[in-house]
Amino acid sequence: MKFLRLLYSALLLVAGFGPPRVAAQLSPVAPPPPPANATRQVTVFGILATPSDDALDPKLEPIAEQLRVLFPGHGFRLLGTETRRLRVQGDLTCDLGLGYAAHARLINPLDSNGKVQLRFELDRYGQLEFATLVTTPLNQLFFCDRRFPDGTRLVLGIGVRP
Amino acid sequence: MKPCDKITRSLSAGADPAGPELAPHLAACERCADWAESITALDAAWSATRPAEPPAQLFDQIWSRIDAQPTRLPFPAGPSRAALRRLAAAASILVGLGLAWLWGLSRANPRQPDPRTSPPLATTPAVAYQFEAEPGETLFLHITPDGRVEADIRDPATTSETITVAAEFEILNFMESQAADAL
Ligand SMILES: [Zn+2]
Repeated sequence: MKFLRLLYSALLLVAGFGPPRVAAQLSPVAPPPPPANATRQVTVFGILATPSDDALDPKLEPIAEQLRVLFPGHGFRLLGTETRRLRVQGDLTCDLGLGYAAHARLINPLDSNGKVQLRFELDRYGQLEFATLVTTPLNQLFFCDRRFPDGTRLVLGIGVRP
Repeated sequence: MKPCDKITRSLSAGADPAGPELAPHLAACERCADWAESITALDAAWSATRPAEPPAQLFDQIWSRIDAQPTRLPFPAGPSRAALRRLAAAASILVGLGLAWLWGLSRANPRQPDPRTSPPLATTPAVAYQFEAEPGETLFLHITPDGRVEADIRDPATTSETITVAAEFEILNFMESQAADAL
C-alpha cells in the first residue's frame, strides 16, 4: 500500500502537479468520486468562419469583435448553439446543418484539480469525424475547428459552468 | 451565482458600467473593473471597424461550396508526428495524468474498465486524443482537411492575450443566453 502511494505521488509529479503538500495526507489514494448527482451547465455552439470575406451574421453582432479577436480576418455565421445542465454521462447535441452535429458528454463533473472532463464528438450524418476527451477548468471555452480545403472553418466552441 | 459572476454577466448583456447597478461594485472590485474596461475597449474597437452586413444568401453559398468539397475525414485517425511533437512540447498536455489515470483504473479493477472513464458509447470508437487546459489557457484543436489534429494553446500569461480571455468569456455568455432563449 505504501508503495502504491509512492507510485501515485511519483505519477502526479511526472504529471506536473508538483509535490503533494503533505505526502501522508494523500489518503485515500484515488481522488474521491464526484457526487452522483453533480451537474454542470454545458454549452456547445458552432460557427462557420470564412477567411474569404468578413461578412457577419447579424445574430452574431453582439460578439463580433470578440470573435475577431480569436479568429482575425474572418466572416462569421452562427450555425447553432445549445446549452443544457448535464448529469454525469448526460449529453447534448448541437445540430449545425448539412448533416453536421457536435456532441458533448459530461464524463467527470469535478476532478481532483477542480476541472471537468468532457467527451466531445463531431459527426456528419451520423458518421464520426472526430472524438476527444478534454479536461478543462470551469467558465472557460475550448475550441475545435474543422478546416475545409477552401480555408473555411467550422468552429466549435465548448464551455462548462458550475 | 456569486456577485462577481452576476456583474460580469450584466456587463456582457450590455449593462452600463457607470449605471447605478454596477458602478458601486466596480468601484470596489478590481477584477470586475478590469473586466468592464476590456469590454469597453472591445466595443470601441468594434464600432470603429464594423463590416457591412452581408446579403442573406452569401452564407448559403459558402455552405453549398463546403457541401461540394470532398470532406470525408479518416476516422479514427492517430495524431500526426508533427502534432505529437507539439503535444510533447506542451506542458499542459498531461501524459503523466493519463498514466496516473490508467494506473488508477488497473488498480481499481484490473479486469473491468471503470464506467466513468471507458468510452461511453458502445458504438463509438475509442478517442484518439486527450487534452487538458489550464486556467486562463485557450485550447484550440485544429482538424485539417486531411484529418490531422493539431493542438494549439494560447496562454495569456506568456502572450499577454488577456483580451482573449475576456473575449472568450463574452462569447460563452452570449452563446449560453442565445441557446437558453431558444428553449
Ligand atoms: Zn467583482
